[in-house]
Amino acid sequence: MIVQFPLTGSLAQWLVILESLICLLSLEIALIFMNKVVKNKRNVKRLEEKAYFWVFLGYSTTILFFIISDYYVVDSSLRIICLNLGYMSLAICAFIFIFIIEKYKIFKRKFLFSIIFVIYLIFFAILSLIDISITQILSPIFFAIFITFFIYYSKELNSIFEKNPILGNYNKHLIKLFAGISLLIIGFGLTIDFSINLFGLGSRLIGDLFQLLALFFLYFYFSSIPSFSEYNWQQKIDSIFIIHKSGLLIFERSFKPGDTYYDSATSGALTSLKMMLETVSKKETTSFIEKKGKHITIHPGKYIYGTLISEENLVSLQILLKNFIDKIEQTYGNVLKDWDGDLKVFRPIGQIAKEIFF
Amino acid sequence: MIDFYLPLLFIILALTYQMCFYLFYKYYQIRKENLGLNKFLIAFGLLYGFGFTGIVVRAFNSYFVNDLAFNIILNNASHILISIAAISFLLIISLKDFKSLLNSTIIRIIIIIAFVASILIMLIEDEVLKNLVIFSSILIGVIFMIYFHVILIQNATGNVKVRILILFIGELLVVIGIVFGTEKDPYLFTPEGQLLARNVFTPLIILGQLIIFYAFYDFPVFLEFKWQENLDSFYVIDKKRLKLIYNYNFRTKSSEIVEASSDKNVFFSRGLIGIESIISLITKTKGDKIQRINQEDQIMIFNYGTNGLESLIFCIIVDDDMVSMTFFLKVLQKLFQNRFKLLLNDIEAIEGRENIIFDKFKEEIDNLLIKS
Repeated sequence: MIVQFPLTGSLAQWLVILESLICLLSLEIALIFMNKVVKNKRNVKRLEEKAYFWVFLGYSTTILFFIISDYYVVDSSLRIICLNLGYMSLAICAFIFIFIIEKYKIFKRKFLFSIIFVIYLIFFAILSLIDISITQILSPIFFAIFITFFIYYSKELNSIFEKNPILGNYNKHLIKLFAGISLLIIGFGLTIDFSINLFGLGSRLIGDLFQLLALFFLYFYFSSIPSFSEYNWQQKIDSIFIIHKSGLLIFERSFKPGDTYYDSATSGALTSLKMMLETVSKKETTSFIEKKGKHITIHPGKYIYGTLISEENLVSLQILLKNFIDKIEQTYGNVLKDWDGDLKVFRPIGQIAKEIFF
Repeated sequence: MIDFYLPLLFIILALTYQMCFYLFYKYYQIRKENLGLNKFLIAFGLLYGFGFTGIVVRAFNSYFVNDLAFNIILNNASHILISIAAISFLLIISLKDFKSLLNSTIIRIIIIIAFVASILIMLIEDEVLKNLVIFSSILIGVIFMIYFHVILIQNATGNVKVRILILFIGELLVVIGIVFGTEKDPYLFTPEGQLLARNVFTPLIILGQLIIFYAFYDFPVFLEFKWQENLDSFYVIDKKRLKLIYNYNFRTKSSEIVEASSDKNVFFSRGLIGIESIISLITKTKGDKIQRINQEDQIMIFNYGTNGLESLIFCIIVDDDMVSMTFFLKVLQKLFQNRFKLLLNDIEAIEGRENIIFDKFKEEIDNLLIKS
């Protein structure tokens, strides 16, 4: 049975309603994540929530293109262009999602999946130029790359859970991911032209319901898992120093047992270093120094500056250092302004460090 | 080709139920605080829930149902839903919580008009007369909504005022969209014009709904009107060290340095704890804490530290006994504890510097007053 497009009839009328709701729901989930990003600028998890926003936005856009192409476009060549725009937007948003995740987490090698996706996108574009009607055959490749990425992603998350027993068991999250991805792929498969021609419009109805269900599973998965940015840095951090702008060290903490950098000259040396960097850049900004396997981040505040020594230059560490400085200045602002050199008052900084870094 | 009007109607319904759920949830979150004006969340939830459902049923009936018998059933169903929406909204805002805000006689008259109009619409068979009653009801409804929102805007402060203004804009768009986009009206449009109007004005309803959603999103707790004018001062007392550690004056909008030997410090530390001991002895309620002290023209409301900070006493002095004040004190307590929790756990380390450290809390109070 060959189904004619645009789809018509009473079942098609209900299908377009269902698909509009999928499109709306997906867009709303994307906006929920974007709202979290905008509202929690100080939270390291926002780095990954930005990625989740793109994946749901991409899905919503794709569904919108599919609705237009399958229900409202009469001309068959225009329909194929619309379908391709749908696939293309999904692929681009998926690429942005993977690229953002890979910025904070290395799977096998740096930007491996992003590179694979770029190759896929180039191949997709070339094929579109040669024969736009056959690009649909590339969708299994898209899903294959995406699933492989999620296998690695899940494996890495699992290792975070193993290292942090406080997080509980990863399997309950894995069930949500597995259910979400499976329903999404089966649902998507049931809505493509091949399935409709084989089983009729009923397969599209089941496919839509599967996709709707998949969105719930995926939303609950993404909103409940911890982020790499939140946990990955803990093994990478060596020490942290907080130095008053007068040059006196007010707080020091080493994160590696038996590994302490501090001696009486350290704070003086770090102050000189900061002053030299400021002379070069002529303004107070965050500075980074890299030396074979060690990274030094210096972040200035109003009255103090923080120096963090780590094994990797992670964005999450920069955010945490900034949060730490802000929190100290917020709490001790009036003391730091006219500090008389009494260190006792800064004893509770240890608690602030514990709250932010542990 | 499938008519895209139908999916739009279902999008309106989906947004409506999400909005209702959100409004009820927001009310549920703060219901324990017993802040009467927040019942307006329930009122709007019911108005939107029943109202939009009625409108969608009416539009669906108007464009997609051809069976005459079914037509009549759906038409009546839509009237009943819209009437329930309007009457339930009016009944809630006629409660005594809104008495200081709205003229209850006007609301009672509107309820009677709404009730009579609902019955007339169901009974009248003449289409022209029926439409006249419908449009009169819409007109009265719109005038009342304008009056209601103007009163709210005039009396609200800070962020609440802005949110109500946004809400009003959203509602205006929705009403325009409903009037021109959901009704098949041969008096207003030609068939071609009707199609165009429908396709332009239905997305306007969705836009209006999104604006309403935005206005209600994270809506600040609606405290009583003019509550800020009754605030006098706020104190934090460390019971363990018998010391007043923070003091804010709402009249001068400033934190005040508290000298150890000042009368205020002596009263709020030793004096207050002394009062507590005497009361416990007289009433044989050892362990229970004083909740409030009423004087002739002022009231002292107390709250006690939590989560390891049980030695702290939070006190607010106000001119008038309002439910909002207890809630406001709880918010201040939470903010103070969250901001200085780590310092308060090791308070000996900051001995003698409490004044300059806690002085920063003034910014939080100022922000809170602007937002509320």
